[in-house]
Amino acid sequence: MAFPVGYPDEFLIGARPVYPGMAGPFGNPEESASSDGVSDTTAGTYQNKLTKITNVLPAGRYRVGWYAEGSNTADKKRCDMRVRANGIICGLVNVTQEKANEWQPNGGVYQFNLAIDAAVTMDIYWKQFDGGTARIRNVRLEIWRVN
Amino acid sequence: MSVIYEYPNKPQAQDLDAIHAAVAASAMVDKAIEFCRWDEDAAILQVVWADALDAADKTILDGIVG
Repeated sequence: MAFPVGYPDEFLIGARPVYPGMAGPFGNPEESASSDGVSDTTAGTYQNKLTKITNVLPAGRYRVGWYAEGSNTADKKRCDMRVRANGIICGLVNVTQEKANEWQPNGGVYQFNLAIDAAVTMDIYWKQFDGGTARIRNVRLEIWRVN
Repeated sequence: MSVIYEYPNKPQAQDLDAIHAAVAASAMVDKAIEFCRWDEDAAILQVVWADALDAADKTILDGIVG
């Protein structure tokens, strides 16, 4: 990582530069999970693709990030996705395709306050809407502390 | 209460729409299939029914899914 000219050495901690105003819990702790394989369903109700239960995290403000690719085996049909953190919806996507089997990338971020030290459960679900087979792959879930 | 019929060792993508169509066109008495699910990582196909199938219908389903 390039380090700006003029910053004294005391801002360096190990190999990671810490800039003025950046000291603190930013980015730590962080946890993540992924599921690369394809999952298909003809269900019209949400099916679980990936769940991540973190270790107990200290109270603070956290950022949840997610990514997933969705498609449907039929033209003009949907692959719906829902992402939650502790049961709160932090991502809701309805992917409608013009042509079948075109993978569409989707992602988002969400911030929330964790009031007490606690584990966080993150999950992502998917389903078809109005027919066809909904497909999902390359799912990523991550969480890290903001402050 | 849904009943899940699992078929392991399915590493290749399954044509779930075709399973629905085959069930509808079959001689099964109970055709109330709820949905199918296939997972590449687990290599498992699941076929979900509203109620348990009788032996004759299960045999037909096994033949459809292979």
